[in-house]
Amino acid sequence: MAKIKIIDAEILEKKTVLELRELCKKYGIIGMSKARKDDILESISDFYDSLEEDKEESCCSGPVQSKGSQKVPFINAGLHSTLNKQDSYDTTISISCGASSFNGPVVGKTVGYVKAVYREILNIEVDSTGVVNGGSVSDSYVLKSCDTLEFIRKAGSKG
Amino acid sequence: MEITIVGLGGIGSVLSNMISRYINSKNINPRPCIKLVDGDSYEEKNFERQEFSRFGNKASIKAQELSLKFRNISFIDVPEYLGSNSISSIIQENSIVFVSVDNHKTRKLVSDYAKNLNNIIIISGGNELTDGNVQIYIRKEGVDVSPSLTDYHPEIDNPIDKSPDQKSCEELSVSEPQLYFTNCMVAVFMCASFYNIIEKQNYKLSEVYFDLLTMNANSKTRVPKNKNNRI
Repeated sequence: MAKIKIIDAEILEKKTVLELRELCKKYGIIGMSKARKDDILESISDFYDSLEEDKEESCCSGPVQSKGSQKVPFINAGLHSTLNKQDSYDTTISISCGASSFNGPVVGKTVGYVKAVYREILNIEVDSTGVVNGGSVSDSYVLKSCDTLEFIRKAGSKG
Repeated sequence: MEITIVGLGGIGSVLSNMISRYINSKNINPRPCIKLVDGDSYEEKNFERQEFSRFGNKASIKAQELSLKFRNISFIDVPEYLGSNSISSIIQENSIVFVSVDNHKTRKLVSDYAKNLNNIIIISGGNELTDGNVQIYIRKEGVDVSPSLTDYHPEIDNPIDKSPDQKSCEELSVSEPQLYFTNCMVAVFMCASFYNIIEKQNYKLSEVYFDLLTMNANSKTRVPKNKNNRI
């Protein structure tokens, strides 16, 4: 999962509404274009909380993590479901952008959220459209089990 | 079978050889025809990526070279850039068009023109330095079987670049760095797309991406945006 820098609440408070809206765009938080500052701040706070929850979950059920993080050149995993400690399955769906792809635990998440979180790993462009099961969707689309998500990569222009 | 190859640069000069070799071996009757379209000239600066035996117009030289090598195919040279005035005389119904140009403006021109035809197969390739993609646009009986080149690519639908006939001499002489291997990969995937469609009747693929650095390739199946567009 790409690292998202959590901005301190005090610094967020000092930002203008426009700056906060830009930040929401970056994080894939939708419905903020006409929202008030308080609501935007609350949404960003919720987003940070969800990131923390994801981090805790992956620490509990995932493989042992080394302290020093290394940049992963690419991921091309083949598993679609993983059995966790509670004998239940976490379903993952295929996420791709261009030639890169991997399976991520993003069922129930929005396309905008996935775009924000996996932007670095998959090199997703900011204006990239999400395509689910071969058809265009908006950033607010909530991913279901068995969906296949693709972010359109720009076509090569040279020849 | 009528094949048109638009653009004979790094991709097209390699692709034309590959596709001709394959078709020549099939001994198809009546004799297939391959049209080679490019208004550009082969110069010394192109040597590191492009396959020509001498200097001059790329379409004419390549047609001569391939005619000597592959006797079961008729080659026609069109020594001009594809433009909105010439496209109707160059690309016809029931043809297979390989688009290996270096600008989105021409890709859009071909894609938009194809929407007015009933049966056509377009295989378009492009690349950056170390990655690239191939798009497949098929129309059958006036209906899009796969997405057009512009359906999922706004950068092709609203191109900011210029077609070669709109460029000045200075602009034409400036070229960004490219890698011969990347051009070859695009050419191989374009040939693979052709094989899948013609020999295996596989119409499901709409785009393939590859990356030379990660050694990954990924094919995509997408839904055409104008499904019921019978003309």
